[in-house]
Amino acid sequence: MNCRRFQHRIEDYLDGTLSSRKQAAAEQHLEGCAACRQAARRRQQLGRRLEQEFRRCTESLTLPPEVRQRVLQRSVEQFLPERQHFWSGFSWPRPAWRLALAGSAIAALILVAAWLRFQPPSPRMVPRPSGPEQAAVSIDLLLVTPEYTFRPEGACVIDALVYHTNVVKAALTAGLDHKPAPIEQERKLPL
Amino acid sequence: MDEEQLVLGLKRRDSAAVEALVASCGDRLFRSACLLCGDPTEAQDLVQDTLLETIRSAHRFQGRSSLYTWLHAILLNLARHHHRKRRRLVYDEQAAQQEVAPMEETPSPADATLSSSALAHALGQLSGPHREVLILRFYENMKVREIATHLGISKGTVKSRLHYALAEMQRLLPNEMNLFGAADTKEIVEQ
Repeated sequence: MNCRRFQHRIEDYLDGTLSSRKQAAAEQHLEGCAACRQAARRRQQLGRRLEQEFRRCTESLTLPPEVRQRVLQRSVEQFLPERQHFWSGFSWPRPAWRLALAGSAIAALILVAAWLRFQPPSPRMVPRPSGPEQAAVSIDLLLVTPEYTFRPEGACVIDALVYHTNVVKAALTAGLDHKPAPIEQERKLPL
Repeated sequence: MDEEQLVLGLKRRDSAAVEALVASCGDRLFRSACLLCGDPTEAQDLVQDTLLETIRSAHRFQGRSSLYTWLHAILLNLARHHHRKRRRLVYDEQAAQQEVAPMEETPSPADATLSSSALAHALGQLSGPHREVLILRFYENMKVREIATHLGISKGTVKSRLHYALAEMQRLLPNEMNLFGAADTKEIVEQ
């Protein structure tokens, strides 16, 4: 360790926070360097002198009783449970959290809207015209059935998955004198 | 009441904990505030605000430092804020002439000790950052790395500020701090 490096580390040396290797190097340097030895000694004495001076000119200072009283009184008025309301446990989140919550809420709304928009059509219930079969409703049932096929081709087995969509139209009626509605079935091409 | 109980009590907004906080930290904080701002009256306001802010935000204390260190960090922030605010005040000459001169209060012996102290006068000549480092080092007895964490600056910056602050103190207080001619000093570093 040279003088410049020791001067740079003198505060750490006095704190005793150097690593054991650096501490040993510092001590070795001090043994051979009168100037750094003197600088360290002066720095230590200056520190002690300042500590003494700080203590001496502040030791008689005490926090005045009226300030203590004011702190206690204001703390009761502002923060302590006597003045708390039933919603006092609730606090608004910090601005960053507020932004995050608002962003999450908006994102959730967009996702829900997109999900509703791209939902497959659901069976519809259409009321029949009024008349003797007032209670009858027609419904369309959408059935999607998968079909999995295998066929050998050379040394390989080729498999394929197709979906067939069937729309079944039916009528539901209520009452005693209803006639069963004709059932139509329409087979659509694979998707 | 030990520190852990004190913190728990403050988080629960317990009035006994508030009293214990004022009793245990009030004087020490007040002395530090006096050194920081050089004016006991301003220091009273600072300590009062610091204690109230501590009670208000006790739920944020995470125990990564001692309670007093946390209090001191709040004090430093408030002291800087007060200082900035004071610098921003625009002097209104007309208003000053119309204003009735306040009755001069007789300073308490403790206040007089501080204000007449050459050390306090010299501290007042230092820049804010240099004064802070000096007080943390020699009044609060913090190590360099603790000061760096406390102020949120690098260790190198702490050392640099300390170096210049000590040099300035030696220039401002040649009689008190002149250790260069001391013949009766022991070589402490050689022990």
